[in-house]
Amino acid sequence: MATGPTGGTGTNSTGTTHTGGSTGAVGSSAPCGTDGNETPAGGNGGATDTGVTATTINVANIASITGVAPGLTQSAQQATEAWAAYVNSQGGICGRQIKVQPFDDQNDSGQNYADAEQACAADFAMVGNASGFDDGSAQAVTACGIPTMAAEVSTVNAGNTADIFGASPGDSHYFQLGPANYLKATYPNAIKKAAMIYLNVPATADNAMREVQAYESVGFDYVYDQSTTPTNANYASNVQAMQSAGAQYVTEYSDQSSAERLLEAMQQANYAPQVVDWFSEEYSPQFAQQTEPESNGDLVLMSATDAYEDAASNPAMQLFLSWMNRVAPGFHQDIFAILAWSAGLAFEQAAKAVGPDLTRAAILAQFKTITTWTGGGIQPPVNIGDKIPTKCFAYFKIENGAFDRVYPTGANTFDCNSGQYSY
Amino acid sequence: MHEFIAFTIIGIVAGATYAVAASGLVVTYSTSGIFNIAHGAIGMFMAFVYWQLTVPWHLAPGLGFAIVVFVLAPLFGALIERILIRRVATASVTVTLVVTVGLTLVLIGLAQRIWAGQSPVVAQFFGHDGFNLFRVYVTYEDVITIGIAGLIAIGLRILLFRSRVGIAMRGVVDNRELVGLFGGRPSLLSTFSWAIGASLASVAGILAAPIIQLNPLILTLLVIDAYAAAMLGRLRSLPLTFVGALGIGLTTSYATGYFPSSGIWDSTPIQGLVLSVPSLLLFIVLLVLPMDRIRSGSLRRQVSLAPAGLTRSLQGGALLVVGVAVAVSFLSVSGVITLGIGLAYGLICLSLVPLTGWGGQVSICQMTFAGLGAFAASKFNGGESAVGLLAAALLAGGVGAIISLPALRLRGLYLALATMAFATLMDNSFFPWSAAFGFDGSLHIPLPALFGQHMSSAKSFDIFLAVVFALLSIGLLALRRGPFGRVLIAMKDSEAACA
Repeated sequence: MATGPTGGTGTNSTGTTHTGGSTGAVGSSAPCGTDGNETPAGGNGGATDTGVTATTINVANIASITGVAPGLTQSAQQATEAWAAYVNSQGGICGRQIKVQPFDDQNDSGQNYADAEQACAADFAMVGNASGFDDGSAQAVTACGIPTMAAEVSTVNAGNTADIFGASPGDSHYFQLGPANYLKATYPNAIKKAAMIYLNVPATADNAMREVQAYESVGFDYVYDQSTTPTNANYASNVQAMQSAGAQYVTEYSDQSSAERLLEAMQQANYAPQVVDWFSEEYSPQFAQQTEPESNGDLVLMSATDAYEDAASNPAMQLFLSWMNRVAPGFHQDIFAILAWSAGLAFEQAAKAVGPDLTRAAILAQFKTITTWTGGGIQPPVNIGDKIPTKCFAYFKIENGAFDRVYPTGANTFDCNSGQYSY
Repeated sequence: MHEFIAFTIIGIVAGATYAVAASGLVVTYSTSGIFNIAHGAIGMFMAFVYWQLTVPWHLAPGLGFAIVVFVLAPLFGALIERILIRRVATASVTVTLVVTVGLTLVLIGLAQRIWAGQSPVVAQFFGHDGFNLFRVYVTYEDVITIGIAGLIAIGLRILLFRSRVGIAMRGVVDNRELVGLFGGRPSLLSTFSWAIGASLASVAGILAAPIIQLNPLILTLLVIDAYAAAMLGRLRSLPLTFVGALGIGLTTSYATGYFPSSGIWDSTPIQGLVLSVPSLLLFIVLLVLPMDRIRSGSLRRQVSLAPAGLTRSLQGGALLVVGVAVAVSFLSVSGVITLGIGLAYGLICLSLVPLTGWGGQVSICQMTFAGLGAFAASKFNGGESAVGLLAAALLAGGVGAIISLPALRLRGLYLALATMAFATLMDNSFFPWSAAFGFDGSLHIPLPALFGQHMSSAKSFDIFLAVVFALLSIGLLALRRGPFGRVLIAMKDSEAACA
């Protein structure tokens, strides 16, 4: 049931612009030594729970690496390993080293479930998970109660699971209105002739429906709202239909491959609407370079993480990149990697806050207390504990295979002023 | 009017790509008697090879095209015929379908492995250069696609019906031995047929790649949309195939452009039908057009294996259950779950034993029925009760019975393709429907609770699955030994005689 827009109820109610790279304490609360790393006097309690010994904390990570979309979230697993290497280089957590058990769900809910079941039995927690099939692990987590700090919570089932938290929380009850308001102010005519095209798979179809509902509440008029299949080989007729409808704002809920085919068809038809708006899954050098020059001038919405382009003035991003380049040189620079690193940091903070007597129940209680999280400045503020997504956003523009910041113009800044649409 | 012309041009261009793909299917079938499900996969693989030659290895596009289409693809087709197809040339339609489906999966897997982590992009031969036709922008690439489709149709017609080689190639399908007696070389002709088929597949793949991009799955599936065209030509007539391909392209284009998408039309099931136009057309063509003589496989009667007796059935079932019970005691948690998934797939495969193995009816939509069953189960007591299992059987069985009515006149390859079309329709219309499956489209079904007892672990569920598998197998074998089983076997051997 839609209840319409609400304002000022999100994670950042100050109505100010968030500047990344400077907020969010990491590794605070340090009952184990001065910085939470050393083994306390008298030892750390040894094996305090499943997957915990005196010297190690076993954590699992589930990513989608093989299957129908090879390598889709592999960067999240690499980032989790980079985070573990970083934490271990600092002495671990209360004298315990982090050991990552990697799983590949093969883009399949059943395998995701099997992976999570194995993690339940052997690992203390799951960290940095990123999969569009996390409804599988939701079942396992419900049954065994393994604490999960995911990179991104994708499905509603996972979002509704009590013990699954995420650096990008999945919550179907909110939709941020900031981007819609920005577009309304910047392109007042284009939003009156908007086009939405989406894949007819539940995750994209339902989110597209929610976006249309939310954006209409601020004045968008959709002249084209159409589904297509993930295997649509030729978007030419969709493009012609959008042209015929006079669409001047085009957005698509899809994977990168489909977005590339849509752009190709638009280019082939000489169709250049005033605004083409991609969401952050299309934020990757691969997409920008493969679609050059078709994508020149297209907007990319960033709301989950800070941008790689702003790394020069973002110490948190520099730290992340330095460890990624050690552990996984040449990694695919996407949002999943940043979110997984941030999820690791959130887990670390909670584990240190618990102290030497590390138990699943205790760390879950700590997760709930993280209500303003930025990963040390690598993502805009998000309420992990209450599972409320961020209200902040920034827009980038693709130019010649690269991303240029458009709004807000300052590096590492986000607009956090608008409210959220509640369902 | 401008809009209509635009959709027409788009439809013709799309239809031309379908025509190239469908022509290859028709040539392979009419000269080897085998419906090559792997046709799209061969085209996909060759498109990747073309990219490898022209981008990383910097060959000129024209030279790369010539090397792939006239050298590598024909060699690849000939190789497949020599090492794989020749071994099943006289086997049943079921066997050849399974072999070519297997080849499809191998080629997709190979492409994903060989070009993993790369971002292949195939550029158009003439970039985006083009001209305006009735105020519609047409690229030179579009013109080339249409031209190549026309040339292929004419060229193949001449080859197959005006040349001695072509006539001999078709003769091999009708009577291999007779062609040999008249001095022909059936083996060489079959190899040549597959070489031509692979070459045509590579043309379709390379032409489609700049628009679709090099995506192994989508390039492979493109050819499936062309099946209806090949069927309209009854796998023999190239002109009709060409017309059918244009018809698919135009219908798809008009449906996208003109079918309403608001109000009562804005629902997943209805919009799913629009997205399934090629499959709908395939279904209609199969049902409406008179069936051509479909090769039924070997003239040698296939000897059915003697079914196991009751004692052996019981022993086998008990062995399975005990084996699973022992296995789960030492398997890892992941292994136990994987075993359970395997047993569940085994149950689905078991459904093919009476249908395909004994009755000779080929179905490619068993997973669709499995999905329907799971959906029904989830709607009754959370899916965990015996009532849920009963509901699953009733819904899947009921839909199966309804589908079988129009499909009664189909058999062999036609039936297989009809079931494939049905599966695609369901994939687009029913399974993405959030009204049925909820937001995000996933339903949760807990482990079964039978006789008041909840299964508490994956281990007990594995044993339960093994028991169900064993009971169903024992029941099926009993059925096979009885009058109904003999009827099924008779139907497979000869439907007319059975009637």
